[in-house]
Amino acid sequence: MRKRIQPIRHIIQVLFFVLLLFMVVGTICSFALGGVEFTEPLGALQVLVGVSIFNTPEKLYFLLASSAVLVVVTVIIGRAWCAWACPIMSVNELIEYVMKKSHYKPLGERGKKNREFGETRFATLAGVVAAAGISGSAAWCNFCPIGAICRTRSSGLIVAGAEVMILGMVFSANLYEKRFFCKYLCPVGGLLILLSKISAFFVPRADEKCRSCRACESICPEGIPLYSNNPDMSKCTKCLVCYTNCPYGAVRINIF
Amino acid sequence: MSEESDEDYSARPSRRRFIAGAAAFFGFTFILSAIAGLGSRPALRPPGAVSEDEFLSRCIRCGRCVDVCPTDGIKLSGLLESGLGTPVMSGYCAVYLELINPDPVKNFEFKMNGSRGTPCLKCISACPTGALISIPVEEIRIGTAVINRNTCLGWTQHTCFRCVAVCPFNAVTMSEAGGPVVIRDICTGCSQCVYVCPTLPKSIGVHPYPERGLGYGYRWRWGKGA
Repeated sequence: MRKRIQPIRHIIQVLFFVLLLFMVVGTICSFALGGVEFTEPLGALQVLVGVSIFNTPEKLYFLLASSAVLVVVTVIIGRAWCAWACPIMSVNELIEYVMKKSHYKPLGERGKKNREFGETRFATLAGVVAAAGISGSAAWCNFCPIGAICRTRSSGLIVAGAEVMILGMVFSANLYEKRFFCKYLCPVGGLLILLSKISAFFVPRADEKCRSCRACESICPEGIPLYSNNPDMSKCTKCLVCYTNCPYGAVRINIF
Repeated sequence: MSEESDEDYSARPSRRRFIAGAAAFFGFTFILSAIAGLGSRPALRPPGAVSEDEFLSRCIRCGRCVDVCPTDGIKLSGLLESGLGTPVMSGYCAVYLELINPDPVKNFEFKMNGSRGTPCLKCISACPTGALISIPVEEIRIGTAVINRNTCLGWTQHTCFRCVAVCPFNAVTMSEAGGPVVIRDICTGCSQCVYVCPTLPKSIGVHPYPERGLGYGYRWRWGKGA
Protein backbone atom coordinates (compact mmCIF):
# COMPACT_ATOMS: atom_id res chain seq x y z
CA MET A 1 0.00 0.00 0.00
CA ARG A 2 2.82 2.37 0.86
CA LYS A 3 4.36 2.12 -2.59
CA ARG A 4 1.06 1.86 -4.36
CA ILE A 5 -0.51 5.06 -3.09
CA GLN A 6 1.56 7.31 -5.35
CA PRO A 7 0.56 5.63 -8.66
CA ILE A 8 -3.04 5.81 -7.45
CA ARG A 9 -2.65 9.51 -6.79
CA HIS A 10 -1.13 10.08 -10.22
CA ILE A 11 -3.99 8.22 -11.87
CA ILE A 12 -6.46 10.41 -10.00
CA GLN A 13 -4.50 13.48 -11.06
CA VAL A 14 -4.69 12.42 -14.69
CA LEU A 15 -8.41 11.71 -14.34
CA PHE A 16 -9.00 15.16 -12.86
CA PHE A 17 -6.82 16.75 -15.53
CA VAL A 18 -8.86 15.17 -18.33
CA LEU A 19 -12.09 15.83 -16.49
CA LEU A 20 -11.44 19.49 -15.78
CA LEU A 21 -9.97 20.30 -19.18
CA PHE A 22 -12.21 18.33 -21.48
CA MET A 23 -15.23 16.79 -19.81
CA VAL A 24 -16.99 19.28 -17.58
CA VAL A 25 -19.34 22.03 -18.66
CA GLY A 26 -17.28 25.10 -17.91
CA THR A 27 -13.81 25.15 -16.47
CA ILE A 28 -12.25 24.68 -13.07
CA CYS A 29 -13.41 28.20 -12.18
CA SER A 30 -16.99 27.03 -12.29
CA PHE A 31 -18.45 23.88 -13.70
CA ALA A 32 -21.39 21.57 -13.64
CA LEU A 33 -20.78 17.86 -13.52
CA GLY A 34 -23.70 15.58 -13.05
CA GLY A 35 -25.76 17.35 -10.45
CA VAL A 36 -22.79 19.00 -8.79
CA GLU A 37 -22.30 22.70 -9.25
CA PHE A 38 -18.80 23.83 -8.42
CA THR A 39 -17.31 27.29 -8.20
CA GLU A 40 -13.75 27.96 -7.24
CA PRO A 41 -13.85 29.90 -3.94
CA LEU A 42 -11.28 32.56 -4.84
CA GLY A 43 -13.30 33.56 -7.90
CA ALA A 44 -16.43 33.77 -5.77
CA LEU A 45 -14.56 35.80 -3.15
CA GLN A 46 -13.34 38.25 -5.78
CA VAL A 47 -16.84 38.70 -7.11
CA LEU A 48 -18.20 39.22 -3.62
CA VAL A 49 -15.66 41.94 -2.80
CA GLY A 50 -15.65 43.37 -6.32
CA VAL A 51 -19.32 44.14 -6.79
CA SER A 52 -21.15 46.59 -4.61
CA ILE A 53 -24.67 45.20 -4.82
CA PHE A 54 -25.68 41.75 -5.88
CA ASN A 55 -28.17 42.03 -8.71
CA THR A 56 -30.19 38.87 -8.27
CA PRO A 57 -30.49 36.88 -5.04
CA GLU A 58 -30.73 33.58 -6.93
CA LYS A 59 -27.29 34.11 -8.43
CA LEU A 60 -25.89 35.07 -5.03
CA TYR A 61 -27.25 31.90 -3.45
CA PHE A 62 -25.99 29.90 -6.38
CA LEU A 63 -22.53 31.43 -6.06
CA LEU A 64 -22.35 30.84 -2.33
CA ALA A 65 -23.68 27.30 -2.54
CA SER A 66 -21.49 26.23 -5.43
CA SER A 67 -18.34 27.73 -3.96
CA ALA A 68 -19.11 26.04 -0.66
CA VAL A 69 -18.34 22.65 -2.24
CA LEU A 70 -14.58 23.11 -2.21
CA VAL A 71 -14.73 24.97 1.09
CA VAL A 72 -16.45 22.03 2.75
CA VAL A 73 -14.11 19.52 1.13
CA THR A 74 -11.10 21.52 2.29
CA VAL A 75 -12.40 21.91 5.81
CA ILE A 76 -12.89 18.17 6.01
CA ILE A 77 -9.85 16.69 4.29
CA GLY A 78 -7.56 19.70 4.15
CA ARG A 79 -5.74 21.00 1.13
CA ALA A 80 -6.01 17.74 -0.79
CA TRP A 81 -7.31 19.61 -3.82
CA CYS A 82 -3.81 20.82 -4.69
CA ALA A 83 -2.07 17.46 -4.82
CA TRP A 84 -4.93 15.35 -6.12
CA ALA A 85 -6.84 17.53 -8.56
CA CYS A 86 -5.24 20.85 -9.47
CA PRO A 87 -4.05 20.69 -13.11
CA ILE A 88 -1.20 23.14 -12.51
CA MET A 89 0.16 21.02 -9.70
CA SER A 90 -0.15 17.94 -11.90
CA VAL A 91 1.88 19.55 -14.69
CA ASN A 92 4.38 20.90 -12.20
CA GLU A 93 4.84 17.43 -10.77
CA LEU A 94 5.36 16.08 -14.27
CA ILE A 95 8.01 18.75 -14.89
CA GLU A 96 9.57 17.88 -11.55
CA TYR A 97 9.70 14.23 -12.60
CA VAL A 98 11.31 15.09 -15.95
CA MET A 99 13.86 17.33 -14.22
CA LYS A 100 14.72 14.54 -11.81
CA LYS A 101 15.12 12.00 -14.60
CA SER A 102 17.32 14.37 -16.60
CA HIS A 103 19.45 15.09 -13.51
CA TYR A 104 18.62 18.77 -13.56
CA LYS A 105 18.87 20.44 -10.19
CA PRO A 106 16.76 23.59 -9.86
CA LEU A 107 18.83 26.75 -9.62
CA GLY A 108 17.48 27.82 -6.27
CA GLU A 109 18.30 24.47 -4.71
CA ARG A 110 21.92 24.30 -5.83
CA GLY A 111 23.66 26.59 -3.38
CA LYS A 112 22.73 27.28 0.18
CA LYS A 113 20.01 25.13 1.64
CA ASN A 114 16.77 26.33 3.18
CA ARG A 115 16.02 29.41 1.21
CA GLU A 116 13.10 30.88 3.07
CA PHE A 117 10.74 33.05 1.16
CA GLY A 118 8.25 32.69 3.95
CA GLU A 119 4.57 32.16 3.48
CA THR A 120 4.16 34.50 0.54
CA ARG A 121 0.91 32.88 -0.57
CA PHE A 122 -1.08 34.79 2.02
CA ALA A 123 0.47 38.00 0.76
CA THR A 124 -0.56 37.20 -2.80
CA LEU A 125 -4.01 36.28 -1.56
CA ALA A 126 -4.34 39.63 0.23
CA GLY A 127 -3.03 41.45 -2.83
CA VAL A 128 -5.46 39.67 -5.15
CA VAL A 129 -8.47 40.33 -2.94
CA ALA A 130 -7.44 43.97 -2.54
CA ALA A 131 -7.00 44.33 -6.29
CA ALA A 132 -10.45 42.83 -6.85
CA GLY A 133 -12.02 45.16 -4.32
CA ILE A 134 -10.37 48.33 -5.56
CA SER A 135 -10.52 47.75 -9.30
CA GLY A 136 -14.00 46.30 -9.06
CA SER A 137 -13.07 43.45 -11.35
CA ALA A 138 -12.06 39.86 -10.90
CA ALA A 139 -8.51 40.96 -11.65
CA TRP A 140 -6.75 37.76 -10.74
CA CYS A 141 -8.94 35.74 -13.08
CA ASN A 142 -7.23 37.49 -15.98
CA PHE A 143 -3.95 35.90 -15.10
CA CYS A 144 -4.80 32.80 -13.19
CA PRO A 145 -2.73 29.98 -14.70
CA ILE A 146 -5.18 27.40 -13.35
CA GLY A 147 -7.97 29.06 -15.27
CA ALA A 148 -5.70 29.63 -18.25
CA ILE A 149 -4.84 25.97 -18.64
CA CYS A 150 -8.52 25.05 -18.41
CA ARG A 151 -9.62 27.77 -20.81
CA THR A 152 -7.53 26.31 -23.64
CA ARG A 153 -10.56 24.34 -24.75
CA SER A 154 -13.06 27.16 -24.39
CA SER A 155 -10.86 29.42 -26.49
CA GLY A 156 -11.02 26.73 -29.15
CA LEU A 157 -7.62 25.23 -28.31
CA ILE A 158 -6.02 28.37 -29.70
CA VAL A 159 -4.71 29.79 -26.49
CA ALA A 160 -4.62 33.53 -26.24
CA GLY A 161 -1.14 34.99 -26.29
CA ALA A 162 -1.20 36.14 -22.70
CA GLU A 163 -2.24 32.75 -21.46
CA VAL A 164 0.70 31.06 -23.18
CA MET A 165 2.91 33.64 -21.50
CA ILE A 166 1.41 33.01 -18.06
CA LEU A 167 1.63 29.25 -18.35
CA GLY A 168 5.18 29.56 -19.66
CA MET A 169 6.12 31.71 -16.69
CA VAL A 170 4.55 29.32 -14.21
CA PHE A 171 6.09 26.22 -15.73
CA SER A 172 9.53 27.70 -16.30
CA ALA A 173 9.64 28.89 -12.68
CA ASN A 174 10.11 25.20 -11.91
CA LEU A 175 13.64 25.59 -13.25
CA TYR A 176 14.38 27.90 -10.35
CA GLU A 177 12.63 25.91 -7.70
CA LYS A 178 10.33 22.93 -7.83
CA ARG A 179 6.67 24.01 -7.86
CA PHE A 180 7.65 27.62 -7.43
CA PHE A 181 4.18 28.88 -8.28
CA CYS A 182 2.39 26.46 -5.98
CA LYS A 183 4.81 27.09 -3.15
CA TYR A 184 5.10 30.85 -3.19
CA LEU A 185 2.51 32.51 -5.40
CA CYS A 186 -0.74 30.60 -5.68
CA PRO A 187 -3.48 32.61 -3.92
CA VAL A 188 -5.90 29.70 -4.24
CA GLY A 189 -3.44 27.60 -2.28
CA GLY A 190 -3.24 30.37 0.30
CA LEU A 191 -7.00 30.43 0.64
CA LEU A 192 -7.14 26.65 0.98
CA ILE A 193 -4.42 26.75 3.66
CA LEU A 194 -6.48 29.24 5.64
CA LEU A 195 -9.50 26.97 5.32
CA SER A 196 -7.59 23.81 6.21
CA LYS A 197 -6.32 25.33 9.43
CA ILE A 198 -9.51 23.98 11.00
CA SER A 199 -9.31 20.67 9.18
CA ALA A 200 -8.60 17.71 11.41
CA PHE A 201 -9.00 14.60 9.27
CA PHE A 202 -6.48 12.50 7.34
CA VAL A 203 -3.47 14.22 8.84
CA PRO A 204 -0.12 12.43 8.48
CA ARG A 205 1.64 11.99 11.81
CA ALA A 206 4.97 10.51 12.81
CA ASP A 207 4.57 7.68 15.27
CA GLU A 208 7.03 6.27 17.82
CA LYS A 209 9.11 4.51 15.11
CA CYS A 210 10.29 7.94 13.96
CA ARG A 211 14.04 8.51 14.36
CA SER A 212 14.04 12.15 13.27
CA CYS A 213 16.03 11.41 10.12
CA ARG A 214 14.29 14.38 8.46
CA ALA A 215 13.68 12.44 5.25
CA CYS A 216 10.06 13.60 5.42
CA GLU A 217 11.05 17.26 5.56
CA SER A 218 13.38 17.01 2.60
CA ILE A 219 10.94 15.06 0.46
CA CYS A 220 7.81 17.00 1.39
CA PRO A 221 6.91 19.47 -1.37
CA GLU A 222 5.86 21.93 1.30
CA GLY A 223 8.85 21.19 3.54
CA ILE A 224 6.77 20.24 6.57
CA PRO A 225 9.01 18.83 9.36
CA LEU A 226 6.81 15.89 10.21
CA TYR A 227 9.37 14.50 12.66
CA SER A 228 9.09 17.48 14.98
CA ASN A 229 6.54 18.10 17.68
CA ASN A 230 3.33 19.67 16.46
CA PRO A 231 4.30 20.68 12.96
CA ASP A 232 1.95 23.12 11.22
CA MET A 233 -0.08 20.74 9.07
CA SER A 234 -2.37 23.28 7.42
CA LYS A 235 0.01 23.43 4.45
CA CYS A 236 -0.19 19.67 3.94
CA THR A 237 -1.53 18.79 0.52
CA LYS A 238 -2.16 15.16 1.52
CA CYS A 239 0.10 13.99 -1.31
CA LEU A 240 1.35 11.26 1.03
CA VAL A 241 4.93 11.17 -0.27
CA CYS A 242 6.03 11.14 3.37
CA TYR A 243 3.90 8.07 3.90
CA THR A 244 5.45 6.39 0.85
CA ASN A 245 9.05 7.42 1.46
CA CYS A 246 9.59 7.26 5.19
CA PRO A 247 12.53 4.84 5.59
CA TYR A 248 11.21 3.55 8.93
CA GLY A 249 7.56 3.35 7.96
CA ALA A 250 6.84 5.74 10.77
CA VAL A 251 4.16 7.85 9.12
CA ARG A 252 0.57 7.11 9.95
CA ILE A 253 -2.42 8.76 8.38
CA ASN A 254 -4.71 9.61 11.21
CA ILE A 255 -8.29 9.68 10.10
CA PHE A 256 -9.15 11.69 13.19
CA MET B 1 23.98 25.22 9.60
CA SER B 2 21.49 22.44 9.73
CA GLU B 3 20.62 23.19 13.32
CA GLU B 4 18.56 26.23 12.54
CA SER B 5 15.66 24.54 10.85
CA ASP B 6 14.11 23.10 14.00
CA GLU B 7 13.21 26.38 15.58
CA ASP B 8 13.28 28.60 12.56
CA TYR B 9 10.76 26.57 10.68
CA SER B 10 7.85 28.03 12.52
CA ALA B 11 9.28 31.53 12.20
CA ARG B 12 6.67 33.44 10.26
CA PRO B 13 7.59 36.05 7.71
CA SER B 14 7.71 39.47 9.25
CA ARG B 15 4.78 41.76 8.92
CA ARG B 16 6.79 44.05 6.72
CA ARG B 17 7.51 41.26 4.30
CA PHE B 18 3.87 40.27 4.24
CA ILE B 19 2.76 43.80 3.46
CA ALA B 20 5.48 44.17 0.84
CA GLY B 21 4.41 40.93 -0.79
CA ALA B 22 0.76 41.88 -0.73
CA ALA B 23 1.52 45.29 -2.18
CA ALA B 24 3.74 43.78 -4.88
CA PHE B 25 1.14 41.28 -5.90
CA PHE B 26 -1.59 43.86 -5.74
CA GLY B 27 0.45 46.02 -8.08
CA PHE B 28 1.23 43.07 -10.33
CA THR B 29 -2.40 42.04 -10.65
CA PHE B 30 -3.66 45.57 -10.94
CA ILE B 31 -1.15 46.72 -13.54
CA LEU B 32 -1.49 43.59 -15.63
CA SER B 33 -5.27 43.83 -15.62
CA ALA B 34 -5.00 47.48 -16.55
CA ILE B 35 -2.80 46.44 -19.47
CA ALA B 36 -5.37 43.82 -20.43
CA GLY B 37 -8.02 46.52 -20.23
CA LEU B 38 -6.07 48.91 -22.43
CA GLY B 39 -6.72 47.18 -25.70
CA SER B 40 -10.29 46.33 -24.89
CA ARG B 41 -13.03 47.47 -27.21
CA PRO B 42 -16.78 47.56 -26.82
CA ALA B 43 -17.80 43.99 -27.12
CA LEU B 44 -20.79 41.89 -28.06
CA ARG B 45 -21.53 40.23 -24.76
CA PRO B 46 -23.76 37.16 -24.45
CA PRO B 47 -27.48 37.70 -23.83
CA GLY B 48 -28.47 39.09 -20.45
CA ALA B 49 -25.12 40.73 -19.79
CA VAL B 50 -25.16 43.50 -17.22
CA SER B 51 -23.41 46.82 -17.89
CA GLU B 52 -19.83 46.49 -19.01
CA ASP B 53 -18.14 47.60 -15.79
CA GLU B 54 -20.34 45.37 -13.74
CA PHE B 55 -19.87 42.55 -16.19
CA LEU B 56 -16.11 42.70 -15.80
CA SER B 57 -16.39 42.70 -12.04
CA ARG B 58 -18.65 39.67 -12.05
CA CYS B 59 -17.24 37.51 -14.79
CA ILE B 60 -14.79 34.97 -13.43
CA ARG B 61 -13.85 33.74 -16.93
CA CYS B 62 -15.11 30.26 -16.23
CA GLY B 63 -16.35 29.64 -19.76
CA ARG B 64 -19.56 27.89 -18.77
CA CYS B 65 -21.57 30.01 -21.19
CA VAL B 66 -19.19 28.93 -23.94
CA ASP B 67 -19.76 25.29 -23.17
CA VAL B 68 -23.54 25.37 -22.89
CA CYS B 69 -24.19 27.47 -26.01
CA PRO B 70 -25.94 25.16 -28.51
CA THR B 71 -24.76 27.21 -31.49
CA ASP B 72 -21.12 27.60 -30.36
CA GLY B 73 -21.78 31.30 -30.68
CA ILE B 74 -19.72 32.41 -27.68
CA LYS B 75 -15.97 32.38 -27.34
CA LEU B 76 -13.56 33.63 -24.73
CA SER B 77 -11.73 36.74 -25.83
CA GLY B 78 -7.99 36.87 -26.16
CA LEU B 79 -5.54 39.61 -25.33
CA LEU B 80 -6.32 43.02 -26.85
CA GLU B 81 -9.94 42.11 -27.21
CA SER B 82 -12.39 42.94 -24.47
CA GLY B 83 -11.33 41.79 -21.03
CA LEU B 84 -8.99 38.85 -21.32
CA GLY B 85 -10.84 35.58 -21.03
CA THR B 86 -14.30 37.07 -20.84
CA PRO B 87 -16.98 35.76 -23.18
CA VAL B 88 -17.81 37.56 -26.40
CA MET B 89 -20.20 36.60 -29.16
CA SER B 90 -18.46 35.00 -32.10
CA GLY B 91 -21.50 33.59 -33.85
CA TYR B 92 -25.22 33.92 -33.60
CA CYS B 93 -27.61 33.53 -30.70
CA ALA B 94 -30.46 31.12 -31.36
CA VAL B 95 -32.73 32.86 -28.80
CA TYR B 96 -35.25 30.03 -29.16
CA LEU B 97 -34.31 26.38 -29.09
CA GLU B 98 -36.26 25.92 -32.31
CA LEU B 99 -34.03 28.37 -34.14
CA ILE B 100 -30.72 26.59 -33.85
CA ASN B 101 -29.33 26.53 -37.39
CA PRO B 102 -31.60 29.30 -38.62
CA ASP B 103 -32.65 29.48 -42.22
CA PRO B 104 -35.17 31.86 -43.79
CA VAL B 105 -37.88 29.28 -44.44
CA LYS B 106 -37.72 27.70 -41.00
CA ASN B 107 -37.65 31.01 -39.18
CA PHE B 108 -40.47 32.42 -41.28
CA GLU B 109 -42.67 29.43 -40.52
CA PHE B 110 -41.72 29.72 -36.86
CA LYS B 111 -42.89 33.31 -36.82
CA MET B 112 -46.07 32.52 -38.76
CA ASN B 113 -47.05 29.86 -36.24
CA GLY B 114 -47.49 32.59 -33.69
CA SER B 115 -46.18 30.43 -30.88
CA ARG B 116 -43.22 31.93 -29.15
CA GLY B 117 -41.21 28.77 -28.84
CA THR B 118 -38.94 27.71 -26.00
CA PRO B 119 -36.39 30.35 -25.01
CA CYS B 120 -32.85 28.97 -25.02
CA LEU B 121 -30.84 31.33 -22.75
CA LYS B 122 -28.74 28.46 -21.46
CA CYS B 123 -25.80 30.82 -21.02
CA ILE B 124 -27.78 32.89 -18.54
CA SER B 125 -28.73 29.97 -16.35
CA ALA B 126 -25.18 28.62 -16.55
CA CYS B 127 -23.55 31.85 -15.35
CA PRO B 128 -22.59 31.33 -11.71
CA THR B 129 -21.92 34.92 -10.73
CA GLY B 130 -24.72 37.01 -12.17
CA ALA B 131 -22.69 38.53 -14.98
CA LEU B 132 -25.58 37.34 -17.15
CA ILE B 133 -29.00 37.82 -15.60
CA SER B 134 -32.25 36.35 -16.78
CA ILE B 135 -34.45 38.67 -18.79
CA PRO B 136 -37.32 38.17 -21.23
CA VAL B 137 -36.02 37.29 -24.68
CA GLU B 138 -37.43 40.50 -26.14
CA GLU B 139 -35.18 42.52 -23.85
CA ILE B 140 -31.93 40.91 -24.94
CA ARG B 141 -29.57 43.59 -26.19
CA ILE B 142 -26.44 41.95 -27.48
CA GLY B 143 -26.01 44.69 -30.05
CA THR B 144 -27.75 46.36 -32.92
CA ALA B 145 -27.75 45.18 -36.52
CA VAL B 146 -26.48 47.66 -39.09
CA ILE B 147 -27.00 47.20 -42.83
CA ASN B 148 -24.40 48.22 -45.39
CA ARG B 149 -26.59 49.50 -48.20
CA ASN B 150 -23.75 49.53 -50.72
CA THR B 151 -23.37 45.77 -50.76
CA CYS B 152 -26.77 44.56 -49.53
CA LEU B 153 -28.54 42.64 -52.29
CA GLY B 154 -31.86 44.01 -51.12
CA TRP B 155 -30.74 47.57 -51.69
CA THR B 156 -28.64 46.98 -54.80
CA GLN B 157 -30.65 44.34 -56.66
CA HIS B 158 -33.98 44.17 -54.77
CA THR B 159 -33.62 40.45 -54.11
CA CYS B 160 -32.65 38.22 -51.19
CA PHE B 161 -34.36 39.64 -48.04
CA ARG B 162 -33.21 36.64 -46.07
CA CYS B 163 -32.56 38.87 -43.06
CA VAL B 164 -36.19 39.99 -43.13
CA ALA B 165 -37.40 36.40 -43.21
CA VAL B 166 -35.01 35.14 -40.60
CA CYS B 167 -35.30 37.82 -37.90
CA PRO B 168 -37.16 36.18 -34.98
CA PHE B 169 -38.41 39.53 -33.71
CA ASN B 170 -39.32 41.15 -37.02
CA ALA B 171 -36.75 43.81 -36.31
CA VAL B 172 -35.54 43.75 -39.91
CA THR B 173 -38.34 44.91 -42.17
CA MET B 174 -38.86 46.15 -45.70
CA SER B 175 -38.63 49.88 -46.03
CA GLU B 176 -40.65 51.90 -48.47
CA ALA B 177 -37.46 52.59 -50.40
CA GLY B 178 -37.29 48.88 -51.18
CA GLY B 179 -34.45 47.64 -49.03
CA PRO B 180 -34.34 46.07 -45.59
CA VAL B 181 -33.99 48.34 -42.56
CA VAL B 182 -33.40 47.56 -38.90
CA ILE B 183 -35.77 48.79 -36.22
CA ARG B 184 -33.26 49.54 -33.50
CA ASP B 185 -35.74 49.46 -30.64
CA ILE B 186 -36.66 45.84 -31.30
CA CYS B 187 -33.34 44.42 -32.52
CA THR B 188 -31.76 42.09 -29.99
CA GLY B 189 -28.52 41.68 -31.87
CA CYS B 190 -28.89 37.92 -32.11
CA SER B 191 -26.92 37.92 -35.39
CA GLN B 192 -29.10 35.34 -37.10
CA CYS B 193 -29.42 37.80 -39.98
CA VAL B 194 -25.63 37.94 -40.18
CA TYR B 195 -25.53 34.16 -40.24
CA VAL B 196 -27.84 33.89 -43.24
CA CYS B 197 -26.57 36.92 -45.18
CA PRO B 198 -25.27 35.53 -48.49
CA THR B 199 -22.83 38.30 -49.40
CA LEU B 200 -19.16 38.25 -48.61
CA PRO B 201 -18.22 40.27 -46.69
CA LYS B 202 -21.52 40.31 -44.82
CA SER B 203 -23.75 43.24 -45.64
CA ILE B 204 -25.31 43.21 -42.20
CA GLY B 205 -23.34 43.30 -39.02
CA VAL B 206 -24.09 43.60 -35.33
CA HIS B 207 -22.48 46.46 -33.47
CA PRO B 208 -22.22 46.69 -29.67
CA TYR B 209 -25.20 48.23 -27.98
CA PRO B 210 -24.09 51.72 -26.94
CA GLU B 211 -26.13 51.90 -23.73
CA ARG B 212 -24.26 48.94 -22.26
CA GLY B 213 -21.25 51.18 -21.82
CA LEU B 214 -17.89 50.99 -23.46
CA GLY B 215 -15.73 48.09 -22.48
CA TYR B 216 -12.79 49.99 -21.18
CA GLY B 217 -13.25 48.40 -17.79
CA TYR B 218 -10.90 48.45 -14.87
CA ARG B 219 -11.82 51.90 -13.82
CA TRP B 220 -11.29 52.88 -10.24
CA ARG B 221 -14.31 51.83 -8.37
CA TRP B 222 -14.97 55.13 -6.70
CA GLY B 223 -14.77 56.78 -10.11
CA LYS B 224 -17.89 54.95 -11.18
CA GLY B 225 -21.34 56.39 -10.96
CA ALA B 226 -23.99 55.01 -8.67
